[in-house]
Amino acid sequence: MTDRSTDNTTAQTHLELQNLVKEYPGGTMAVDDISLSLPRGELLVLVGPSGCGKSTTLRCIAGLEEPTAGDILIGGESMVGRRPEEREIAMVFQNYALYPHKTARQNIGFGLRMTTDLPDEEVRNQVERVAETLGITDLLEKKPGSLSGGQQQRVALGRAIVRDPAVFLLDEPLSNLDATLRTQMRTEIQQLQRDLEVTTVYVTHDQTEAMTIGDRIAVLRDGHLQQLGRPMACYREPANRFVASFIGEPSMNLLECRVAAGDEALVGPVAYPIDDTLAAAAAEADGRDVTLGVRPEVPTLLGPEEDDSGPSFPGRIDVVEPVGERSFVYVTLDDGPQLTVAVPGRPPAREGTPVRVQIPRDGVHIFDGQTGEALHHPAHSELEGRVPTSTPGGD
Amino acid sequence: MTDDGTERTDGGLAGEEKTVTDPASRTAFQRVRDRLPVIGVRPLDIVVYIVYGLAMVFFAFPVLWVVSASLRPEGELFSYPFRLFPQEVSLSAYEQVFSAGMMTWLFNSTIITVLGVASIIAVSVPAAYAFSRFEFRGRRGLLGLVLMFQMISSVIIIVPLYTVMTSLGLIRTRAGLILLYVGIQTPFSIWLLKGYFDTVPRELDYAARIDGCSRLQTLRHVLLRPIAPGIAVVAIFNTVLTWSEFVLAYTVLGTESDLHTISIGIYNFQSQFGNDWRAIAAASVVGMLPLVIVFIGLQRYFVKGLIEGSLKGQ
Repeated sequence: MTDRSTDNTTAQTHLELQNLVKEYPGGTMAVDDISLSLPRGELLVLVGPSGCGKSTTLRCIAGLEEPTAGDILIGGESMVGRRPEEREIAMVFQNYALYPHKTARQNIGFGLRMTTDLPDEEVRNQVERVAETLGITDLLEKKPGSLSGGQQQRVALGRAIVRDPAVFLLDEPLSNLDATLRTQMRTEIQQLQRDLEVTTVYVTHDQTEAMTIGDRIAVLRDGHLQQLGRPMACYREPANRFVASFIGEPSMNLLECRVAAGDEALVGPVAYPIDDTLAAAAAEADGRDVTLGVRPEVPTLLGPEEDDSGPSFPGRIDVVEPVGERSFVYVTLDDGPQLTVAVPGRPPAREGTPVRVQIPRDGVHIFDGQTGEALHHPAHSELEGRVPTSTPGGD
Repeated sequence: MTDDGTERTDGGLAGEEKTVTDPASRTAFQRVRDRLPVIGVRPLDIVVYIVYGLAMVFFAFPVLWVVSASLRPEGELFSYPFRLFPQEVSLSAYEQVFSAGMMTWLFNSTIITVLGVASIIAVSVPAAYAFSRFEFRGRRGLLGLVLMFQMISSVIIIVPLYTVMTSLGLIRTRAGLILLYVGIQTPFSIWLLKGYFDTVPRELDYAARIDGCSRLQTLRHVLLRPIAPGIAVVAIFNTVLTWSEFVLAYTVLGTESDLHTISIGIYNFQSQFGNDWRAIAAASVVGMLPLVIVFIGLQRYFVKGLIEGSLKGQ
């Protein structure tokens, strides 16, 4: 690999998508007007459910698909119409796509042989250098069929980085690995990407993976960009109801409500009393319909008889899922809806126990019931104080 | 599991007395049946093997008879009682067919089969690749049309074929016959190979294109090996068909005896005054041998390809 410039160009836009549109014959709109820009060395994660257009976007950047409209710029130059090998990109696929009849060495070196006039010895040196970086030197003479999933993944990464790409494209690279290996490879990919300082677009449907690996994440749905931002920003201030429900595990509790006459409460499955701040936010909705969003970390579980100053609702514990340092408690309220509550430590009560769920007003999100757009988010500092401790709120 | 049944190490239940029978009280059939699992054969397997055996005798007998007939001295063929193994082995029938032009027929058959099969593969591999990978207008319709051509028997269109061949000046030429074979046998080969291409993940194409391959280079460097078993099947299938084809060969090559293939050669030993069965048998044996050799050679590769194809990471 050649030396990478580590000068002060990190803030400069390196990869840019301008109003990218990809429509397939038959009218399927896979990507609808997506604009993004990545500074050099950034790792951007495209995340969304199946069919949201993330892989198509990646294939357009790679040159495997031609966009219907819009432009793709790498280093300021338009890449539309250029062949994949002219774009200085490398790609890693979900199923690795290693050439089954070639050894790991031939797989890694194939791109160099096809695109450069390097002498055999130079190709060999470069392949070995990359193999050393990835710790696969002893696997070089093996064919993909005799390698494990993790080893194949490393060979696929080797094939991508040996050509010293300007942009690195990863299409669900960890989906075929088991859970332990996935965590390990995730760290390795992150490390590799930082060491190489290569601009990277990473596609995944797994929001946990997106949150942990991305410098920024772009949430897609039905070909539209829903939100672009730092992972925690998307978590704390989701742009709309979809992002709110997609980012975060377990999902945000969403309650469809109407603003009651007099702006005193949100009435839906529960009657949620609101203060002036929330009333002002709810007033911005197109109609009177709003969605109340509550992250599972926000509510507090109280005993059935206790009553605190904040809004609280009686219910009964359905299911308790201890997951180590936290427990997820699923509570069905007497008024009907089921809420997920994350509590620290061991589960506080058994299944079937009557409880009250207190939902503090400074922890709720409000979304427009018709458009889904966010109208109100909790203030950060208050939320941050709440997440690790989850002590009863004092409002 | 019943409440009172304790679990045995083999997974059965010690409490179920029905499963434990007194050895003395068992019938002979039961004893035989109980022994069968020890050697891994079930009663149904025995029936299946008997059917296999009968089928093998049914198919192998004519071949053995032909071999046997070709090795008999003149006059012993219809002797009574019938013997599968001749009393005396004679190669006179082989001498007869070789002096009648067997080398010419073998040469012609080989040329036509090798060039024909090579051309069929050369046409059907890129065609199947295109049908599997390229999205183009009319792709489905064209695939249907290709299949439709396969449905038309060449015997039905033999008169127009003869006319076309004559007007093209290809009648009584090997090239004409090869062209006909390519035209008639390519559709099936395209369909078969398209199936093989469809099993190869598209990501391999993508990876190859990112590695700098053109479409043709992708086919050559990356896809040809994963579909090699399919090419072997196409080669075997078309070799057998082309080598033993008679009707088209006789129509196109006609009376040009220098161009006759092995199947026409065998036919030449039939006459209105009687059939020279010994010569027909000897010519048939000589005609069969190359096919058997080709099949054995390609079959090993074919099986190897299949095993490789079943491994993970494909």
